[in-house]
Amino acid sequence: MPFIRGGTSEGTPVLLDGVRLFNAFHLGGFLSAINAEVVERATILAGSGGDGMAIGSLSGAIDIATRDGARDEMRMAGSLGLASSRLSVEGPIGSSVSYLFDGRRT
Amino acid sequence: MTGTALLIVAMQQATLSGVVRDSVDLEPIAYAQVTVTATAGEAAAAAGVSDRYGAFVVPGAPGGGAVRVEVAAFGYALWTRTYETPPSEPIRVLLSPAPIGLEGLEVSVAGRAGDPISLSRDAFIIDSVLLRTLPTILETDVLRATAVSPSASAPSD
Repeated sequence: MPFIRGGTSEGTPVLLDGVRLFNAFHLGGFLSAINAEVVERATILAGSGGDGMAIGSLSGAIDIATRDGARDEMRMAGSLGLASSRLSVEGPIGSSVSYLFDGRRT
Repeated sequence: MTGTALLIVAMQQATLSGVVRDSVDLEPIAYAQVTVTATAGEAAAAAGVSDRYGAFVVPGAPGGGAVRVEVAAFGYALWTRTYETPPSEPIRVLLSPAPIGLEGLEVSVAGRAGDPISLSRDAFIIDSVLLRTLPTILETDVLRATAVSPSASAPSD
């Protein structure tokens, strides 16, 4: 679990698309619950967030934004591994909407 | 023989110095490019740059004849003077401001708008490209990757 400015990891909220995750870790903190393949960016905010938004934390927060699904064609991807296995499906719905489903088993 | 040649070369070179200032408020102008060239002959040009006090020194300037001194600075008109001989006293250069007109720039943003949280000056952003270049343990992990932020420390396993 990451530590920001010496704060405890419990005091460092993890947000997924702005929604707080209360259990963002798997395997005792060894792996995160978020599949890295669907992450567009992760923002590490040190401090209490006075400039951007109030995050209710003393040391900081981690905000993870997911990417959009593919808009050109349907795609399916998966992997099998010792630590985890995953499967994702994405594709377009019409010309302006896309979907992205992703699941992982650790 | 070699000593004589060196002496002749030394005699044909001069050192130019001076101060560059704004002609309006007389504030010193830093990083002004000073170039000294001989108006005749094939002597190599010498150049120098003014410091934060506007002072400059151009060693190795062409000597023994007329020289042209050009001073250029960003946002100022080019200053040019011709001297019959390289001046031994420091010269005073007053540059006239010449505002630079910039063309309009249109910025378009594609994709998703930024999160409010990422607008903070304390925010450190790891994009998907950086995420895939970081070393992994078993697999790429976004929360482990946050350790590259200066304010976050590595997870304790």
